[in-house]
Amino acid sequence: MGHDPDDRDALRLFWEQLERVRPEAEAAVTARAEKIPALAALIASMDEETRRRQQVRGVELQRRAVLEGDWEPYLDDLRTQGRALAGMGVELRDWYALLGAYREVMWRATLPAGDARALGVLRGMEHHLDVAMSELGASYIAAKEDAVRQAEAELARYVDLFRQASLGMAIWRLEDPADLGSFRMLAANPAGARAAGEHLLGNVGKFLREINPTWAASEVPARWAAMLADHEPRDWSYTFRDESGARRTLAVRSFPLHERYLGVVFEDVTERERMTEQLERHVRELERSNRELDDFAYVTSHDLKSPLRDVRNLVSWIVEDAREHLPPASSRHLALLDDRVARMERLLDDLLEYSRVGRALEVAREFTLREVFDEVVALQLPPEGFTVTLESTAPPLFTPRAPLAKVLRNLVGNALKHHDHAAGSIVVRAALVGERVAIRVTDDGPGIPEEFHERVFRMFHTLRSRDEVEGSGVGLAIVKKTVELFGGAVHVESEGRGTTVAFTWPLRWVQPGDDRP
Amino acid sequence: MSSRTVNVLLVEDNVVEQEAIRRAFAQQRIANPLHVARDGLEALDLLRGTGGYEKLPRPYLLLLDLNMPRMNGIELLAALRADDELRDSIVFVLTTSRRDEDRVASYNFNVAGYVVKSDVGAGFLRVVSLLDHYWRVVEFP
Repeated sequence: MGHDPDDRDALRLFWEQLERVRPEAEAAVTARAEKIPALAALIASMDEETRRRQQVRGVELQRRAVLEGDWEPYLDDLRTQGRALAGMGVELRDWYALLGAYREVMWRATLPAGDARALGVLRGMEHHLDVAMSELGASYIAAKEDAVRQAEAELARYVDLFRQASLGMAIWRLEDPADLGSFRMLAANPAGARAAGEHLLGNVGKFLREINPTWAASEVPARWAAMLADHEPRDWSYTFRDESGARRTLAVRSFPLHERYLGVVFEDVTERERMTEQLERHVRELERSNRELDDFAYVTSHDLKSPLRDVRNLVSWIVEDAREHLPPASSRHLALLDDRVARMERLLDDLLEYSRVGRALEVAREFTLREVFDEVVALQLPPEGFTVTLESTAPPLFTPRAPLAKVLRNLVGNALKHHDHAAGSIVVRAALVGERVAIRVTDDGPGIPEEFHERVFRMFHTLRSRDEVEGSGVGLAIVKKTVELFGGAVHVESEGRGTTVAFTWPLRWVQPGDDRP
Repeated sequence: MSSRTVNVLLVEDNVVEQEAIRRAFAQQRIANPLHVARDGLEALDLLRGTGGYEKLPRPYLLLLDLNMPRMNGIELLAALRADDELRDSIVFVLTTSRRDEDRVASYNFNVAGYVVKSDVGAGFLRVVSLLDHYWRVVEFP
């Protein structure tokens, strides 16, 4: 930075004067700075030592610039300060106030000299200030502009978000706090227009009472005003008829922004509500048809069983009353008739039981596999030569108890019923696997060919004639339905002799719709 | 021990079931008079002596089926318990229904017993013999 000789002299004179009044000038500037909140906070935050060190450094940089013409380090320091002060929110007028304080000290100290030397001092000072302040000011303004540009870019992103959002949005402001009619819509987005109607965008800038007199007269403005007062967002839904006369429902949330601005976010939930309604209707329909099925199963079992019972009664009376008069063939036929009727009764009983799986479940309670097993075995009365044993490492369970008992009763019963030898053993093994108990019922009976492993679970399927082994073919279907109801699966393993039916049971059962752990 | 003969009122619409009771009574040599009503309304007429029926003399005991036309067993129980004169009637429910709802509803109306006619023949005879013992031993209202 080149300077003419006059300036060099003036700068030197200025420096000598400044050295003389420096304490006074610093005091004046500091006193003024303490009236500016941002600077007062900065001064208060620095300890004495730091301040002094910065001052010494500043004076040295200044000296080198003024006396030696080495301006760059000094100006660089000023630029840094300018940016920092802009970031702290120090205003331009604050700068002028500080400069004023400094100038006043210098002028007061210099003017009484009243000679060419004073002129030199002041020229030197002004020159110094021109250079220093133009740098500091430039960097200050650049920093301010930067901040504005950043704010603008951020704002543009928000505006973009507002425009592109799939949720309807609008911004309102209560123009006059004393007048609830003075809510004015300042902005709305295209999604808002899609949800509320195309007229929405045309209404930007208008007052609520112009846009929708019904709303303006409703409790909406009071609700908004209350929200501005207590800063609590409000949710509600709003149903209206659109331009085509169709009913539409908006889910609306409004929230205070700042001062008297409020944001409204809304969404057209007409379709969603329609779906929910439809779903609820289907659930009701399903429940009704389940009830009907239950009733049907009950009526079937009762009303069909009742005549069967009558037939068995009548058969037994014929046999009782006419035993000695009946030819042997007729006696045998009557016995078969009785047997077939009894079979049909069993089928109906099992059908009823199958249809009632999962209905009116008892509550879950704690029990051990051992107690259920003992109960099942006691009821099955294994014939002479058969053993039924339990090998379990599973902890106590917490589920409804009767369904598991029913499953085990069916499986152990099947193993005993279908066994083809005079002696045999059935083993029930159980172990905890993750959250479930894996249970395997294994027999040493005839086994089940692989092609039937799926079929055995189907309703009314039996692998042998009912004249050989009495059975309705419903037992395993009940097992499957029950296990699946409790979130498990059941399958058959059998190669050659022996069959294993494996299934899992929950360790702890949480009723669907019951949120307790 | 009741000195008078206990009248048995069987409320049952099925003639085969009626016959079953009659045969069981005969086999068990029960000589108590057996009256039959085919549904709840007819039973009420018999118990009140209305509708052209002669009023059934006390002591009596009801054997009640649940599924019947016009007025079913549960409805008859409700009518009996709501009637000042008939509310103390002793009723045994004799039914093929194993439904929990039926059993609970019956006991809510203070029936003396809820018996499921599970099988015919010997099982049924035991039921009848139980009833026979019951009215021999129990004091009637």
